[in-house]
Amino acid sequence: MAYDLLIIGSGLSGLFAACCSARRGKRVLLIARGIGSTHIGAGTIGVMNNPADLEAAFASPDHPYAKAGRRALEAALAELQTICTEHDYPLHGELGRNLTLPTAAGSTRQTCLAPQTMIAGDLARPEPFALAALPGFRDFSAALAAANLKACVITLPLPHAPRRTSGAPHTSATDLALLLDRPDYREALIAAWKPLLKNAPPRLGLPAILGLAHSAQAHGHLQSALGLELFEIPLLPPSVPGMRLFDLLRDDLAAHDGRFILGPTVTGQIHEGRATVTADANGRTKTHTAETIVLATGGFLHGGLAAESNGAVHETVFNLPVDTAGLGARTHWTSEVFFGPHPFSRFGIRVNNYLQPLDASGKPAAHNLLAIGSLLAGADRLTEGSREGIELATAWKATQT
Amino acid sequence: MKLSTELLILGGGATGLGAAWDAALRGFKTVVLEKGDLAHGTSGRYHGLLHSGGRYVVRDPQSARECAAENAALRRIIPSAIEDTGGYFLSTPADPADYADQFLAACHTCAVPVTEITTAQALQREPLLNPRLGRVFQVRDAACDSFDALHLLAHGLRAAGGEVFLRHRVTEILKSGDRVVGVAGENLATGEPFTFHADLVLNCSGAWAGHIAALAGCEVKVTAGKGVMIAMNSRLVNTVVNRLKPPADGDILVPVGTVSVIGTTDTAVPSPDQYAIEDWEVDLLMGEGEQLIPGFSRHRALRAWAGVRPLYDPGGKDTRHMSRAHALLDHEERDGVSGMLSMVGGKFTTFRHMAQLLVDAACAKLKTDRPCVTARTLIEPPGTPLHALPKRLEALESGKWQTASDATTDTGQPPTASHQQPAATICECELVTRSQIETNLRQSGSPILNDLRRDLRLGMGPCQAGFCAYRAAGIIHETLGHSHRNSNSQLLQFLQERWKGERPVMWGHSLRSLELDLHIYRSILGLDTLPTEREIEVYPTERTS
Repeated sequence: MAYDLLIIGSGLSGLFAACCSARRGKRVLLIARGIGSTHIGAGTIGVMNNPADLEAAFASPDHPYAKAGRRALEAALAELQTICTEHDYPLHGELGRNLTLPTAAGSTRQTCLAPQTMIAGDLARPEPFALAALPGFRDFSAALAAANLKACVITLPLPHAPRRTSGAPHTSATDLALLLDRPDYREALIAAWKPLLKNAPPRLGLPAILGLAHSAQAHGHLQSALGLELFEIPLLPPSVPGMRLFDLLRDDLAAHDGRFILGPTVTGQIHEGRATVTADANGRTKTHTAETIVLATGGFLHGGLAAESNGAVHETVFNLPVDTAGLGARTHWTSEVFFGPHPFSRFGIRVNNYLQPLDASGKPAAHNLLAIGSLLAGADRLTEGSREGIELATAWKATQT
Repeated sequence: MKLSTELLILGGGATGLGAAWDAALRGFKTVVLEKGDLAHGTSGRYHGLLHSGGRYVVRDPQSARECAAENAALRRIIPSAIEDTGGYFLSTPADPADYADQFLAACHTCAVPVTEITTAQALQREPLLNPRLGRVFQVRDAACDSFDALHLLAHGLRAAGGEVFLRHRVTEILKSGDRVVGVAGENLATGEPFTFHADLVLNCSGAWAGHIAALAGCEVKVTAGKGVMIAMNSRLVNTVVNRLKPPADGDILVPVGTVSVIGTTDTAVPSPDQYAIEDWEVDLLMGEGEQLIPGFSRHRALRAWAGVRPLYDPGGKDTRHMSRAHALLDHEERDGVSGMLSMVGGKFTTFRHMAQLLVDAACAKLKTDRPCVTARTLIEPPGTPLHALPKRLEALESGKWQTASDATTDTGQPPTASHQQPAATICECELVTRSQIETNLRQSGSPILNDLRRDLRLGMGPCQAGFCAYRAAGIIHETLGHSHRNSNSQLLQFLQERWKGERPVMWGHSLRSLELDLHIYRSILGLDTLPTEREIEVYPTERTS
């Protein structure tokens, strides 16, 4: 089958590019070795921690935002909001005005868009809030978070805490989210919690466990039955809000006849300026080509880039040259301070303004190849808080060709 | 705080705790002072090898004999801290062929038990080894977890009536004329001063022994020989593997717990408190690893750390050639200062022997005749399972740790009060449960996350605390009720501490892991902007394994 667009990588950028194209009637194939960035993310869309820095990024020629352009960012955020709303999972917020949300350690994080389930945690709002301590749930320390946020703690036991079939003696966020998808479980929870929340402040923060497939219902049901505003706080991976984003984008892709193959290892070839890819699923190989191939394999964490002990850094599918800012020895890749900033964060693939990766001579490596998302050089996404914004803006731009 | 004792021992490493345990068993009132935590110095930063003696037979027969004897003794005394892996000395194509005969003859001379085996036998047991092996000799090397060993010694010491004071830094040696009568210093945890008087002070402070001796006005020249080690993410071998050649950098691979440790380098550093791990040292070790195990450098390196050997060799050449032997210094004879003895140099394997010599000398000074009994005294492990992962897994599986607060509720049963804290495994890599952490916090009272790591191995596994540090900080906060600034500081200090050991091996999967950790701790938890109590301190890298 001939595809208009072949996307490699199932992170936020790959999935979003696939959805946008499929929604425009393109024939889309997405191939990924595994699940990507959504499952470790917070499930929110960060564009820039300090919105004032956005203009500088657009004006700095090597920044991925400059490659995408403001219009792409605005259109991408709007299109994502449309898709999410269609799937009954609205994302709130607007470009240029961040939400300040609490973290599970009691710190704060800036985000441009956040799901309905989180926005009541907006720290700019004056109403007091409490945090829920769920006994036996190890991934949320309400006491520490509340101490940092100057909030109070309400201990809310989980009714019928399930014994894990795996034998693991703990309950995970995913287990609880699946339980909270069930109305009967929510009823049990409401019955147990309601008396404990009699004198509670008007807002209550919970770890991000409010349902997976039916989070809107779970959130709405609990809010109205308990009579207060509920907000979720993102947790250690795997992320329930991230899974929701993944699931809805995957479903949207399927609904628009996009094809999604998860599992194969992909290698790329460039022959006479044209890129093709070979997908290897346990020894069964198949070569694909497309009008446009979009590389969305991510940075080091997701395997788009790989670093060796001798200081060599390579791109893992097409072996494209990686811009390491001239930092050959690995001592220079990282900072002595754990939180950085770490120079390796800016490593990546150089692209032109059409998002075509450049070869060593600075020319497009192939006429039908684009690169998007966290694979691109030129931004310290962690320090900027720009990871998802860059993923979405570059993905959206890649679908405009 | 003021206190009087018979023997005051400075240093909570293998030498000091070994001497204290020995002395307490001989009926002395014994107190140990340590400026950090147990095994905070060199003892906690070694490769985990219980020497058979084979390493020393050619160049240092005296050390070889002592190692062989002490290897047998420690297997009797602290069996629960030792894994009997056995060891090989083997020649790779890069090693001198004539060393083998010399080695074999020297083993016989030094009474180091040795058996030659075929390369096929060696490869059958260790299939990852270089198939182009020359000769292979089997010796009685073993893996010894020094954290376990030192906890056992401290346990044995306390059982015999001795006491250990941690985070007590000595700043002054008290003298009356030319006689040492005690020490003064600061409790680093509380900031309170202390003064301890003693009939005799035993300086067992290892690489810091010169510093302590100087406080008493004596000059002791201890050279700090830095040795770098790297923990690989899995047990690449189940047997200690030594290169059959004169001692050199990267000549040993030790399976310890869930990892294997390659070591070591050897360079003199100006101070035991200030040293860095250089890229060339890491590259050298990875390269030597390739000789033992082809493809070694493609395995994940977990972290690197360095320990400083306390080398005492007044005739000193370069550190690689300095003697590893110990020396007992009688400061009365040597410097005209009575009331203090120093034990310097030496190695982990011979700590019991060193302790015996030191306490024998102390007996002579105090004019009392009390025979040493450590060679035949077994230290029974305390009730809780020690570090060995199989023991933990067994305990977890059998439900032994499911105390009231650890039990899970059955489906459909409303939770009762005792069911509210299920046995959450907080550190999955090393199987540390919530109740273990709570128990440890209650017993030690130390809110320091790094102490939990040393005591329980929290955060020492493949994820290097990526997932457990936040959980553990929450438990510390809930259990001890310190200020949020204090809890934040603990967490940040711990992450910074972990990072120092990871940074030298930042490539491949470790770099991926760093990105994940940064994502968790900065992007999701926003820890970089939390208010803290104090500046994040910088210590030398500690071992993990």
